[in-house]
Amino acid sequence: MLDGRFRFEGFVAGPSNRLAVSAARAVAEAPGKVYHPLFIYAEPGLGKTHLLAALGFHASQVDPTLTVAYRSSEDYVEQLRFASQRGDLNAWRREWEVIGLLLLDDVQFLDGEAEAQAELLRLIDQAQGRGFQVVLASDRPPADLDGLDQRLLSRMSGGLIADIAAPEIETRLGILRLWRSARTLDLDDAALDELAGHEVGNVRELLGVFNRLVAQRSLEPGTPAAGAAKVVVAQARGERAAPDEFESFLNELAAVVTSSVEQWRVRLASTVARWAGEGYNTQSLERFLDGTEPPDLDAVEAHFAVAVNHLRDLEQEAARLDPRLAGVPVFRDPGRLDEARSIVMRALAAYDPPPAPAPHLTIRVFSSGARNQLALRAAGEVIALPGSRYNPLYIHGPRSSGKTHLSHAIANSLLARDGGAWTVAVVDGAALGDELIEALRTGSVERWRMRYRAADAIIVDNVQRIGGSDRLQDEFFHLFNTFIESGRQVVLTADTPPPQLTAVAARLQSRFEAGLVVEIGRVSERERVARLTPVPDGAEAAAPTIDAWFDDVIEPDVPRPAIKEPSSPLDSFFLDPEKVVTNWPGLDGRVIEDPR
Amino acid sequence: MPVVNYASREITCKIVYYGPGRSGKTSNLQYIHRRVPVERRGEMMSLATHGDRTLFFDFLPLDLGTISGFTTRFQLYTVPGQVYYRSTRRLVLQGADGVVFVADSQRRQMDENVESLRDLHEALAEHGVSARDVPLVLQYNKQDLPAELVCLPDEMDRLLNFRAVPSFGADALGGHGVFETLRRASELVLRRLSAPATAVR
Repeated sequence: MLDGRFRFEGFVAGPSNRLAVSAARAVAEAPGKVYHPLFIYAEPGLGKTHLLAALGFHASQVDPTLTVAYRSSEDYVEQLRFASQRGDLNAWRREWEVIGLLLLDDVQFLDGEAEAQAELLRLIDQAQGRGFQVVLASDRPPADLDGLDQRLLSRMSGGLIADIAAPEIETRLGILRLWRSARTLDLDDAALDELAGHEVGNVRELLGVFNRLVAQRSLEPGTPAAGAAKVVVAQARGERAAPDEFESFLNELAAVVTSSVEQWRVRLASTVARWAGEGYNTQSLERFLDGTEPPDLDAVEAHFAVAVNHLRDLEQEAARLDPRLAGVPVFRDPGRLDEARSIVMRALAAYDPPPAPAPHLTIRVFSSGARNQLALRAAGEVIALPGSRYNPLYIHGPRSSGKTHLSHAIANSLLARDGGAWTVAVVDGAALGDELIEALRTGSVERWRMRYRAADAIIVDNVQRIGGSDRLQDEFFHLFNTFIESGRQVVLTADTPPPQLTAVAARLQSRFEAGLVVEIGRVSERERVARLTPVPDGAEAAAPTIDAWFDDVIEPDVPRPAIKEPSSPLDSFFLDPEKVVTNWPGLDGRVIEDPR
Repeated sequence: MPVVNYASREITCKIVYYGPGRSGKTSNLQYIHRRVPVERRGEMMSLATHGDRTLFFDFLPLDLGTISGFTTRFQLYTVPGQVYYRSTRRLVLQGADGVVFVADSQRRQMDENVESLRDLHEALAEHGVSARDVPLVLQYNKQDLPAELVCLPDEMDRLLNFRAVPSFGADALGGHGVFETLRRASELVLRRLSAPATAVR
């Protein structure tokens, strides 16, 4: 539909559009006789549609019998498509036979519409034969129209091509005066001159500035119009400044920041942000940011990551042992790794304590003699000052010499310290290896480590049995060092002195020797008899024991630890299953054993 | 005020627009305010007397988003140019990381420009900062006025820019030179990120 408001009288001609206006007038007054087709192109907002409508209106005024059709390209394509789907294409074509003037707007939208292009080509060709006028409008010249058939482009270029440029100052002033008179506004020429001086890309922009001035004047009717116009123009200039002015500013700043900040700080800050985002205390990283020299970033970040991973494992283990420990802040602070480890070890000790000594193997029932005096004295020192005097205490001797008994006895004495608060791990070297294999199989090596590391002292019986497994020796090496470095007591027993532990790594041998190495000699026949002697009870205990008697007779000058008052009624003799028969056989089955 | 905080990855710059009364400091901020996307700008706070002279100061916070991984915020202030607001200017200048001196290019305003520039140096000295240590950019505003009324930038340089700092001709009302000035001032401030802090204390 033609918009009747748009007429030539309302279209201000100027240098920027004079050719288009003249051509439009000529076509309106003699359709199909001067320019066929007429092709008008212009940027949006410069009056294409206005000019088409004015042309159509004027043509219908000149020749009222003329049938004028105005179509946007979208409408044209849509109607054609509808007719085609309806199977009524011929009827649709017949409608155009009565049309004298076709005004087709925005032909750039015919891009890709092959059927519509073909129909338009047919119309233009027919029109040339019967005085039918086609006027086309687009936002670009034919040469720039993509997706249009070459034959159609050729036809479009075959008439007159006229463009409309952005209005220059004279045209802008003419437009402004036209608007002023149309709206009977109290705007002096100076104000219009001020507005006209504002370069615009299209007429709509000029209308926006004009409307803003009108609105401004309605708010402050007493102020000079020219001054208000100047402000309005200034604002419009500011708003019309390059739309990417701010983005451009940002881009340049980004380049400056990138080149100015020290990249190692950027990287470290990024690492800090990442870990802080995961809830970890990053103070240990942040302190590097306060420095002036870059640290070894790879090492710093790797160290932190390792600590975090360790904390995660610890927290997981802690939560398994005691759900209340999940989320404890210490597990988010790599600077408190030792503390976190200690918490888990305590939880583990409470949940799954390390193997304890046999309770009956005490110092009290340990048979002393010349062969074990040094070991016994060393044991006394260790019990009195664990971790500080002889660490490690290495006891070696042949089988059945009492090493196991003495090591368990030390453990039992340590257990009694501080009101029974101590945890002492006592384990055989072979059992230690078995446990590690099981831990490896079940993926619980860390737990296995912590179980032992939680102890206040560790005693490994038959330490020679850790030989043969490199992994076990590695683990024991770290375990051993942990105890020694933290001042906790280590007691080891073996069948040979350290240098003869051929299956044990040299680094361990040397560490075993760094403490005190004592030997326990083979059990003599005399001692064996003494071991079988019951400890007297009650009043009988006051009398000299057979042990003491033997010692005094045979080695009167050797000092011995004082014999404690026994609290148990039985000697080790009665604890030895080989020596005690509880179910006596019948008379016929009795034999008289050799009393040895 | 720390210019850069690596730990929190924040850059905060305070830039103060200094200059004589009616030289166009507020116009600079108003233009920037209009050009910055709404989501990136805070509300421009301005207390003005009748006649649009800045009574206290204008404050325009700009959130420039993340630049090279840093959350970057600019705080733009203007000082009241009138002579009698001396103590207010001192307060606003405190903590400035950079200064834009907006001079009025009109010939008849040259004495005011000189007086204001001297006042700036005194204010900086009172804060214990040498003018040569603070990033400073000169802007010669109102270059859009008729040529017979204004001094061109070269002449303004001879009259005011004895330290040969960066200078720009501008029309703050229309926006010409506004972002160029801010860009250069920002650059001078940001270039000092890795240098020891030199903000006005």
